[in-house]
Amino acid sequence: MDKNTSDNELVRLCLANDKEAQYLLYKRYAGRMMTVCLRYAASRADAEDLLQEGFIKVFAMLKQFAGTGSLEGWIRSIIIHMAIRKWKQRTKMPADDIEEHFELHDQSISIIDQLSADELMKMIAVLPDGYRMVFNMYAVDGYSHAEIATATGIKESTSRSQLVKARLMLQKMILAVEETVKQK
Amino acid sequence: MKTTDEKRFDDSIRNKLNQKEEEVPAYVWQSVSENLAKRKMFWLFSGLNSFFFHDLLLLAGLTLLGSYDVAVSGSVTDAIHKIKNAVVVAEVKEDVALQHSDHHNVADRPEKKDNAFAGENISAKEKEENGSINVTAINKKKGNNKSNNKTQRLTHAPVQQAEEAMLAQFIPAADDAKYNDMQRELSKMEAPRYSLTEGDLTEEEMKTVEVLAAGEMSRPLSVRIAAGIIYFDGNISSDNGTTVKDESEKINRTAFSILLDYPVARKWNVLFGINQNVSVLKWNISDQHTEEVTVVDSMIGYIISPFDPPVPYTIYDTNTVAVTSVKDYPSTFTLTSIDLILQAERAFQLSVINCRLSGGLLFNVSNKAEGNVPDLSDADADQPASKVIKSSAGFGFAAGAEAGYCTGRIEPFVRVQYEKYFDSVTEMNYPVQSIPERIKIMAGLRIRFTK
Repeated sequence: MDKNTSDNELVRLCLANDKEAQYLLYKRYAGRMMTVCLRYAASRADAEDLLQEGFIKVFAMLKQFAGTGSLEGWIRSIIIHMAIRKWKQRTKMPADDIEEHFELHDQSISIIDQLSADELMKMIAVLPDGYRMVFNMYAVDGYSHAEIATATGIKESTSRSQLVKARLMLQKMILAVEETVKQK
Repeated sequence: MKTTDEKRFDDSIRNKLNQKEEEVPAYVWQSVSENLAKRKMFWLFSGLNSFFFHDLLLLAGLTLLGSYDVAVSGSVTDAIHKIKNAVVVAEVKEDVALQHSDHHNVADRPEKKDNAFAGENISAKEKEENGSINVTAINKKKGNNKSNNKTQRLTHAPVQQAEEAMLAQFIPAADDAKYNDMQRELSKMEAPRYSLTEGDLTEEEMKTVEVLAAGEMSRPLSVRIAAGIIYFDGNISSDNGTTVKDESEKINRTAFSILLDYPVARKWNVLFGINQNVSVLKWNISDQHTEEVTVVDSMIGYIISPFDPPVPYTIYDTNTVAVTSVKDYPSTFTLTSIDLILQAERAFQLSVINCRLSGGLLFNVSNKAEGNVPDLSDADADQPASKVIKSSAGFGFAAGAEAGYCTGRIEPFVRVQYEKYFDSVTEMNYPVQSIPERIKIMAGLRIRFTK
């Protein structure tokens, strides 16, 4: 058993309670899942808790993994659903149906290309809870507004509104970086 | 439907983030793996028991038992990490909040005044001394009573207000200084999280951490209830080597046991068990006389696991006489015998083999029984003679080894247990109860049902 062992083989061994396989599976995906946790959680400590609880859930539910799709996607969906559950516990999202429009500034994309992932993560981290949740789910993890509404209990219109606001706020932060560079 | 602008914006961020792989502290896996070992578990096993003692008895039986193990929560290490990190993060965030309060006159922070440490700020000089916030300095400034407020401070409002204040400052008028300020404050929130060591905490604070850690690792009382039927079929001989019966014996035994498992301290796990067995033994002493004996076995078990974390679960075995009565005989007698078992068990895994090694001491006391106590050694007599069973105290030892093959839910296992009593109730002369030395071989299946 090594890093080339396939996901399906790892799953099989994990189901046989093979400790080494469990560690290998964890090691393979923990880093990427930590990124997901950091995007959703309110702090690094919360993200670590989320990762820990997420992997416990993953191992407990592993027998339900069909083996046909991507294991990473399956693990990610479990972690995201746990993040949503925690988010619902700590956040009471007000109804927000104000329609706003997102307009892309031309230089935004090129600035994003120059920013590091860490810098982007920090910007996402300072987004208000609701903005961050919707932006992560929709823009990064590919959920639809209908799916977000079902998972989080907010209205689809609220999801749309929060997403636009999140994009606007992120873009402001991104453009501010450019301003800073110019002034220097 | 996404507009082109939105799609370009989202895609560029997603592409960047998808490449990112964060470092994960080692203790996260430690917590996960410990939790995996302590999952809620219901197991059943059935197996074949073989008992050998001296050259007297061979019994084979079928046992069906069920048990429910309650999960154990996180480890001490994990708890200390979490608490330490939470304390540091709270300190930093609080400090940020206070700074913003000073600089920007954010007035609406009633929580600040309620906080025992409000108004006591850390100077920039102190922060810059080590390139990050000096937690010891914060502790000193904030007095000795801070440990009682740690958990309260983890959730209080200035933390969120600090983030909001920073954002509010940054967005409307972004300039170099403010951007750098925000970056610096954000980096402070993360950087010192893992820099705190036990040495940074006062003795009083460390005690608080220990108490919180102990609380975090504590678990609810675990109750294991087992009930089953043990069916024996074999030849029984008397203690002096005379065969009591040559024909096949049938002994039906019902078994019931309750185990209470409670962690009394960080490294000591006490398992207190009560085991109740009722057996009906029936055999022919001679062609003219049929003997039927009811045996009630009671057991008190006390198992200590000096391991941190405590072993996932422990199995124990014993059988000892409590009360016997003889039917078809002019009188009955009562003999009470109690076993106390001190036994530790260590569970570990070698590849896909689950292993358990156990060992311990057995203590036994029994009362004096007299009256019409049948002497079964006189196998040829129509009526067994009476005898007296002396009160006795004895001790012994037990050692066992078990190996189980993990195939997920079902785990076939083999267990060998050796028990030896010195000066036990051997004079009873009732074969099943008077077993000074025995080897038990058990093979069976454990079936796990996890939540």
